[in-house]
Amino acid sequence: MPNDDPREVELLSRIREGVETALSVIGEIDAGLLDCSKRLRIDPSSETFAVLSAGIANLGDLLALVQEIRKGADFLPSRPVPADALSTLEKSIDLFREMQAAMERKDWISVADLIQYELSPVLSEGKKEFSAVRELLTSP
Amino acid sequence: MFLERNLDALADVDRRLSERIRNAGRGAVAVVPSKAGPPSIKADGAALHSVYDPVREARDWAEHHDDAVRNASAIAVLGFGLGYHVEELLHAARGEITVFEPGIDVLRAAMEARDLTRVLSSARIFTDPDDLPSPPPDGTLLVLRHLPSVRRDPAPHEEAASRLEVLKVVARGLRIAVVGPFYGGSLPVAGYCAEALRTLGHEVEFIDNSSFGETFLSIDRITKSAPHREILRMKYGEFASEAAMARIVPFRPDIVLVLAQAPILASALSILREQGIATVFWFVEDHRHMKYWRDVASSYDHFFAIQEGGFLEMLREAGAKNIAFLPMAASPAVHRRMALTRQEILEYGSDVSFVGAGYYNRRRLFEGLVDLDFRIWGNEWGGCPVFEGILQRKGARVGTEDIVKIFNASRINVNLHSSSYHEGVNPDGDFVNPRTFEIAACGAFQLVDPREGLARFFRIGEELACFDGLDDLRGKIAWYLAHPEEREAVAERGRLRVLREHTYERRMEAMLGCMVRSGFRPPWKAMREREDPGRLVAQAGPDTDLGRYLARFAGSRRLRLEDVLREIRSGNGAVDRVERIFLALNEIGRREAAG
Repeated sequence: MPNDDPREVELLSRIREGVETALSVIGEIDAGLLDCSKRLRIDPSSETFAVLSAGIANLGDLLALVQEIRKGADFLPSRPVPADALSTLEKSIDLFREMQAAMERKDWISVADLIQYELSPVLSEGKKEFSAVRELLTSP
Repeated sequence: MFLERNLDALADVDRRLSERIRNAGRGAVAVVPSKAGPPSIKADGAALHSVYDPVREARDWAEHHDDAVRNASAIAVLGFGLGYHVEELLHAARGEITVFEPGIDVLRAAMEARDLTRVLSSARIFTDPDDLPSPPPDGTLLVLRHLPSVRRDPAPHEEAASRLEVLKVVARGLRIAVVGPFYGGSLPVAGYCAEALRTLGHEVEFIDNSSFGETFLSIDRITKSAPHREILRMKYGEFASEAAMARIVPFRPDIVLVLAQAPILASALSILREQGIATVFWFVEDHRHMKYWRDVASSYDHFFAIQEGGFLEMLREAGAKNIAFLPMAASPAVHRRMALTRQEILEYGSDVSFVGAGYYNRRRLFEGLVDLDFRIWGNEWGGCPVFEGILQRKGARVGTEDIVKIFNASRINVNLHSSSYHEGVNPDGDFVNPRTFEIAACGAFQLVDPREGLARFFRIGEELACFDGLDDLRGKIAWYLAHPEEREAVAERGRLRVLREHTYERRMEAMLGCMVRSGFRPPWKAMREREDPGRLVAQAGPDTDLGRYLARFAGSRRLRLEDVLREIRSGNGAVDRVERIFLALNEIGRREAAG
């Protein structure tokens, strides 16, 4: 049911923008980190580590955005977003910690493994969840 | 489950490493199951292979290097882990694969964790950078790093990489002058060294001084005055040294290898050293018999000796630098199995034979063999009536080709190392003579007196047989004459061992390897690279007119302007644009030189 409350309209618009941003960057983050994972196994350069750092920073921003979207969605009674709608991405916080621990001990193969076999599937699943949320927020 | 099978496979190619791994522990290395099933490995807490899918990871790694691997004639992999990546390389590699892995704990874990028999039969593993072998002479050695292994222990891996780089340079071809003596046992050895170095792909100038030998020996006939003889020998030595330098200097060698007794003076050596040329001496003599080594020890950059132990220390005290043990060898092109005619078998054959000079110990021992079908070949046996009818050709010197026929025709070749004071076998003999390797290289059977270190070169009783005195020698002669099949089997195993490990090619490789480890770097390398036709074609661009023109010189060792001019002058038809440019360059250079 549409709501004419200007604050809710504004909020909905902001959340939609956030979801669109997330959808556009999540693929890039995934592709960049996957490329890093490959390079970490074969032939890393200083650029590889720069891309890895940027990818992880972007991932941090994405997780912050997920939390903001979740919080905002709680104030949209007219378009209720299920509580577990973006839960997969939130799981990546633990992965994030594991990756940081592996990076600290310079265990680059484990970092590559975590990216390729854990994080990338999570990001793919997260993308689907964002698409579902967008569907929910844009449907008449 | 896999350990014994792997260690057995490894022992076939490297028994010592197999034993080291058998006795090693795993240390801080843990084998862990991967999510896909095959085992993975963690060392000091960090994964060396994917703990999710190590096989896929290795496949991706090999695929990434695929083009380079297919173009390489040899591959060196730094880091073994559990060997997944090496296994993948076997599919595409066309050349030899060498693996460097300094972690015995990692190797132990690998041998326990996986069936590596295929890898171990196709790739050699080295744990010490100094043991890494020279790549093939064409220089297309590809060095691949297994990064997690390298990161675990970077220093030895980087040392290995740096050694491989130098070996690559050396393998690509050095310019080496080999200087021989006037005469004597080291004269043929000088020739064998020169030939072996050529076979290894180096450019060699053999300074053969044998033509001066006759004149040098004639000095004894010129005067009976000892001081005059000494002066004449010294002056003649100076002349021969200068004559050698006249050939060495324009050749611009990277190395001058001087064999024992070669006429090169210390002053000449210092001139060579000033030019950055490495001077190397191979003292293929018994230091107790020939003592001039003290006078020359400090004049060379590298000193190689056929005796170890105390002698190396004595050399050090005498001022020698970069000293190493380098044993004698055989030259398979010369010391070879021969099909002899019936006439040759009659001429050279016997049940038992000996070739060599009549030293005191030989005379004493061989008196006990005169009742056998025994022939002695060689000189310095005069005044021994007991050898009447046994000494061949009245004690004349025997040439190398004849010696090889004697080795081939004799059922048993006795090899007794010389001594001027022992009654028979010298119980403390500490070097192995060239004859030991030469007889074996011919596929001939020998009975040799035991020498310190002999077991390092041959398996006694399996690849040759030893005797420790007359009774033992007679007993073994009788036994081996009665067992020809056993005799032939021993001789064949000995032959194969020499071909594998004791040729002059292997010795020259070892010599260059020692030099590289001591810091030798080719002085003319940069200049040589500027003259490398392949490099010049690449610089010009293979698809340019100039590149296409220069490509005709691709097979040459070097390419200079004079080579191009010679090519232009020898050609028919009109001179093309590229040739006109070269002619113009030459003209400019000529005018500038004329002032």
